[in-house]
Amino acid sequence: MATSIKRGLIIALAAIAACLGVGLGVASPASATGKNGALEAGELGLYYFTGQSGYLFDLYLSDPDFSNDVFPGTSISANNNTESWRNLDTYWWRVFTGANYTGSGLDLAPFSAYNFPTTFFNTISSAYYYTP
Amino acid sequence: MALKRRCTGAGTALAALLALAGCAAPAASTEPAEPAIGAVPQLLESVALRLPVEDYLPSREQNERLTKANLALIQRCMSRFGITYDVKPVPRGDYGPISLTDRRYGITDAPLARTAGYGFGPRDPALQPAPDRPSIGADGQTVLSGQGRSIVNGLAVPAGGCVGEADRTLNTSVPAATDLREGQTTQLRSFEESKTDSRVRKVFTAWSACMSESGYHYADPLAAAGDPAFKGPPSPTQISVALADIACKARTNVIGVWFTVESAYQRRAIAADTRGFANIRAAIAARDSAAAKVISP
Repeated sequence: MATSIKRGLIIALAAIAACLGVGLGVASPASATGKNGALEAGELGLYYFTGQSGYLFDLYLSDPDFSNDVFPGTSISANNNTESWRNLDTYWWRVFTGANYTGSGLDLAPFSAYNFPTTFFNTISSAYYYTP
Repeated sequence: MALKRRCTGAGTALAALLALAGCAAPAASTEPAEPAIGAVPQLLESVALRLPVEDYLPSREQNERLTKANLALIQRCMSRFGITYDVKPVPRGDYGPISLTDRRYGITDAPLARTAGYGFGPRDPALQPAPDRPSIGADGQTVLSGQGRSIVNGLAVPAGGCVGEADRTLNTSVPAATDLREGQTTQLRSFEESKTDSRVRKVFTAWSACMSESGYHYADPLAAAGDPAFKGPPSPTQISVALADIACKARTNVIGVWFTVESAYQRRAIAADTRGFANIRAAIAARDSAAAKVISP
């Protein structure tokens, strides 16, 4: 029962994501600094929903505090509001639950793409790229 | 966002209903809610502390080999399509936190706080030179990520693009049932568990009372680090709060308590699944071995 309910919830979320995706079709032109709503090589993409879906917050440079960031093209805050990632960068990225790189952190390998563990849903507030 | 929040709320309500109806999976009923801890050491600096779960995370050297192998495989794959993915290995820099526990419980470096407040000063990741952005065009993006067309330059794009192909190559020897990220998941879970533990809450209360004596009011150390007023260059106020924060951590032993409690949660999780964690360590070693073969001359 729990599985079917969860599946139903996922389907509902996918439907919502699809609706939101309508608004994502118009991405801004490529920017050298990211945060334009289009994930390009060399960037980390943080997504509103699981499965790399929904609004995209694309980072090219480190950011110590997402509290003044929105998903490009929307007024929706990117702070504490992401559920999956795709790293199209050759760098590792480390994301944190707190601003200024505090709290628990998660290492995102180059070229990886996963959902965040559920305990990390909607908790990310800062990120930086690095080489191990 | 309202829709997302509504769904999350609905899920929470649903879970509560299921739990009330007895439909949820049985809880670990014999496990005490809070793990026992022994003597709590007096600690301030957190950067050199090592959490139990780190035995089940890839080492820095393993991650470095993985990075190089991944890139080499992707470049080989891209070249099949006639696309040059010209990305140089990136140099290591001393920016940002330098360990899993650096700043995990907030700031602890008083000399740095005297000039940088809650910032990193010369170690600020924002000071890193901007990396070169690879210029591979639309075809390159498709071949790299697998998004878009299924055939480029007459060749079928692998599932997940060259990124997916490289990933599969490096994970060939990793059993499908083994989740290499379980160590990471454990450290995230233990951190959240520790924040609501009664012993940590108690030390937060003591820390808050200490901060109040200086006229600063925060629920816990991470709230201070995330104060929106502390954006940009460190102001005298930010520096003053940061120094009070560290002094109060020292006086109330926030780091000693928090680290000890979180370690206990991790030890309990590992002890509950010793075989699973042993498999994770073996799988990390197997993937590292595959990476070493890719980059060996």
